[in-house]
Amino acid sequence: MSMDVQLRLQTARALVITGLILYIPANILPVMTMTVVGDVEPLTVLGGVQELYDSGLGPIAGIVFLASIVVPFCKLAALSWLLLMHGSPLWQRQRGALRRIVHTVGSWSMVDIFLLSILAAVGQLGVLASVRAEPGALFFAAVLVSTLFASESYNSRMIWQTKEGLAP
Amino acid sequence: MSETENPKNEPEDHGKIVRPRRARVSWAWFFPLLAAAATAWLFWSNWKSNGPTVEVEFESAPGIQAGKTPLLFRGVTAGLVSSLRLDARLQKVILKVRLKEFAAGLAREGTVFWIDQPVISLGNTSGLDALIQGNSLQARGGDGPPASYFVGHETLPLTPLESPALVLKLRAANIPFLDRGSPLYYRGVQVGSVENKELDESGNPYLRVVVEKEFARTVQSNARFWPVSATSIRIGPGGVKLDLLGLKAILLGGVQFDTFGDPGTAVKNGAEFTLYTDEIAARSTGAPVRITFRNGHGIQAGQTEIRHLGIPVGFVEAATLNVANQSVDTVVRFQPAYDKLHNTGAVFTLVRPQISLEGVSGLEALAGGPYIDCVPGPGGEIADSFSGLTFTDDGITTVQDGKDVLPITLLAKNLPPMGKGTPILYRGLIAGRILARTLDAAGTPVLEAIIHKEFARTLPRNARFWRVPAASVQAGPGVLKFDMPGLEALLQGAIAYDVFGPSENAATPGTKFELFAGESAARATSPPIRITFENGQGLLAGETQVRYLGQPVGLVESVSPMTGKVEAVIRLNDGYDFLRREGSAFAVMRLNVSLNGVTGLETVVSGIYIECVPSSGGPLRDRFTAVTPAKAALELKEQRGFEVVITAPQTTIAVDAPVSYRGVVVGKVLRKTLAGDGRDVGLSVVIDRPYASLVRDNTKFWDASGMKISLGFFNLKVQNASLETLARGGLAFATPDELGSRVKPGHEFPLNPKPRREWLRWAPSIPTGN
Repeated sequence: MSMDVQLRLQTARALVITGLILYIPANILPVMTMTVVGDVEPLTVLGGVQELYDSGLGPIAGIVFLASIVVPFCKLAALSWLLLMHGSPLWQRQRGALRRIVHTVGSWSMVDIFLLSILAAVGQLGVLASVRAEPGALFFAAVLVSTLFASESYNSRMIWQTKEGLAP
Repeated sequence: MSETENPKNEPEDHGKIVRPRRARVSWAWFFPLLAAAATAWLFWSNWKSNGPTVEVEFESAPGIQAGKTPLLFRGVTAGLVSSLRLDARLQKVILKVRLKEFAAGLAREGTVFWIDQPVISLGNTSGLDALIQGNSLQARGGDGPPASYFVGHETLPLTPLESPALVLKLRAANIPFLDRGSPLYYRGVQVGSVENKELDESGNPYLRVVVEKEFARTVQSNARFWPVSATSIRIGPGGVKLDLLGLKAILLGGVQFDTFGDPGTAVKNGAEFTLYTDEIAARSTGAPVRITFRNGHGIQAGQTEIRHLGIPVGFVEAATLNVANQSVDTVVRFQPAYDKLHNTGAVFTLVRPQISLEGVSGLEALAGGPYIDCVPGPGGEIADSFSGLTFTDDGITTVQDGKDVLPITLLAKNLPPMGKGTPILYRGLIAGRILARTLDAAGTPVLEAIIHKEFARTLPRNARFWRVPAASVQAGPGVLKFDMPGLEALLQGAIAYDVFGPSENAATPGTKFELFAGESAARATSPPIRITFENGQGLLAGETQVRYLGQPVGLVESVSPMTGKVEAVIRLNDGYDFLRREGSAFAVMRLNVSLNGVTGLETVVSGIYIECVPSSGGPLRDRFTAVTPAKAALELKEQRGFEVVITAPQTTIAVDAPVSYRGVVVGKVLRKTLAGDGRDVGLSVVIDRPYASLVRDNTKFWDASGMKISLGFFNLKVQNASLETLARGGLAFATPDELGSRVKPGHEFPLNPKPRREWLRWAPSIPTGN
């Protein structure tokens, strides 16, 4: 039991670190390239938000910003905090709630990648317009996948484990 | 792993107590390593793919966006504009360009950067892809030492891929229509183009032309350049030729070059050449020849051509005014093949359009500008300095006042309005020209003229000169002739000469000739004949013609009134002397309207004339008295007819009354006189020659005058021969079936008042005709 917990903890930590590392190229590299009437425009996630905001689509920009930047970042931050707090008797109830939220939100986190894959499949209008996924998307997806598995391996029971053993 | 209790409580427990292995490491640590490695590799490769950063300065950078605008080299993205800024004085835009690693070679001196933007012009349409893709930065590689700061070109270079092998300067006094992009042709192949049109420090224009690498060797040190105009139209005797050098050349013109003569050496970059005005000028590469003209009418440096036998052989390179000598010095160059034309004795004549004098020969100069005609000398050394001639009035004298012409003098009472240069025609050919109008020692106006040598033998002493009016109209019944002896004569008139009658000795220089007013005056060569008229109305000296059988045979030379009469002096043309034999009749023919008919209708148009009826023989005379036209007509009739005399005690039959045979008029009453002792009236009747055989000694003549009205039982028959018979009366005659013998002219017949019945039934068979 103790061994299992140790391994799971390690796995979760490794995956969170992976996510944190990958989060940097995921946001720097362009996730897709839109070519509209010859105008080739490589877009990073943040660039895409900017583009949307410049186009006057403030609310949508907000949603994309939340879903693509804030939420993954918050997930990583939350998971990091949970893992750092592992074994601590403090805020165990709140930590359990946070883990639950992270786990629930996680099932929606791939929506960007899903959207991008649909865009790339549909948006092939020959010379006029085309959308192509870029390596950034791969990194982005990798961030999401690693957080998913991280939150999966760090189950809620482990929150309640302290160095003294399971809390009563 | 933790211990588990055996629920079945097995008696033996083979398990061992194992210490937990705290140092176990999850395989999941592989992921962060992988992620770190991937990210690191990504950043490293990104960093590695970046070459050096260069700065390019532009006057303006339209459509350039930092971080987006690519640098294209041969169509491949070779870098990215990373930032844009203005310089400190806000005069320039400075682009920072991060080159890719493989394009690091672009950071060298000589690299040309320009902004590719859509340019739509007549010659070069470029950058169309920039219309949809946005402007881009473009580069053409240089090969200098490494550099990092560049000054961008504001315009697209003409050879975007490679730097041109050869840049030449073409100098010209003025550069008309050529402009950036105008093609450069070598024997019709485009080998380059005009890059720019610039002014040097001293303000002289020059063209920078670039020659593509593969054609660089076609330019040699002795190449000659000339512009080809967009279109050239050549109008010549061969027709109209329209030269088109392709659509591009139509819009932009072009420059052509070629090498004439020996091949030259290769040229270096930046070599200077002269842009000649046209191909002829460019082809004329011979040694300079100096020709001095007294007057430089229209000579234009670079344009005026030298022609030999009408073919261009050279051109005037320079024309300068020599104030000291009061002359125009020209420097001409011949095409190498024609260098031998300017040998000793060559004659250069400036030919320019002179409509008034050279109506035909100057016409080509009218279209093409004046040119210099070159006639090489008989041989000898090639010379390089000549004295040119000007083909003007004075020039004619200069050129032609030599052994080759025959000077003569024409005298006239009144000089016609003819100036110098008026042509002298011999049967339509120009045989000479008038040189001057002067007064001779005696105060008579004279025309000094020359006759060309080849015509001199057609000019005997007795040649007759006359004026050819600018245009003449000849009108007559059925004839309307408009005579124009040619353009030149139309403007100025002309003088013609010819020989009538046998030629005498050839004229010698200085021979004097009389100038007659017209051709008919000149043709009237006989001695003067004096004719006295009772009425000289309408007779015009120099105009009224003398005609024989309707054809002009002479002219009235003068008309002078004398007491009670008018005396006209006429002259007859050569060969009509028989008209002035004794007994010839001369009568003034005027318009005459009578019952008999209208005669002389032609005089309404042509004016009156003198009709001449020659007598059959006799010595030549030179004094005559005119007769009436009727008399003249009768004289003519008499000559041709057979005359008999009809006698009657009294008759109403008048002169001119017709004489008919079986209703056909065969003769006329010529005269009505008192015969012999005055008891009878004699009618002289002329029977036309063909019908003379109808008159026999037993022929009966009767009076056929008046109206015959026969009143029958049922009818009223009015018989009338003609209106004429009603007025003048008439004669009729019949010959019995048993023919009598022929009578002699002058035979007398009695006039019967009316025919007997059997006379009218006579119908003898008599051959008529001559």
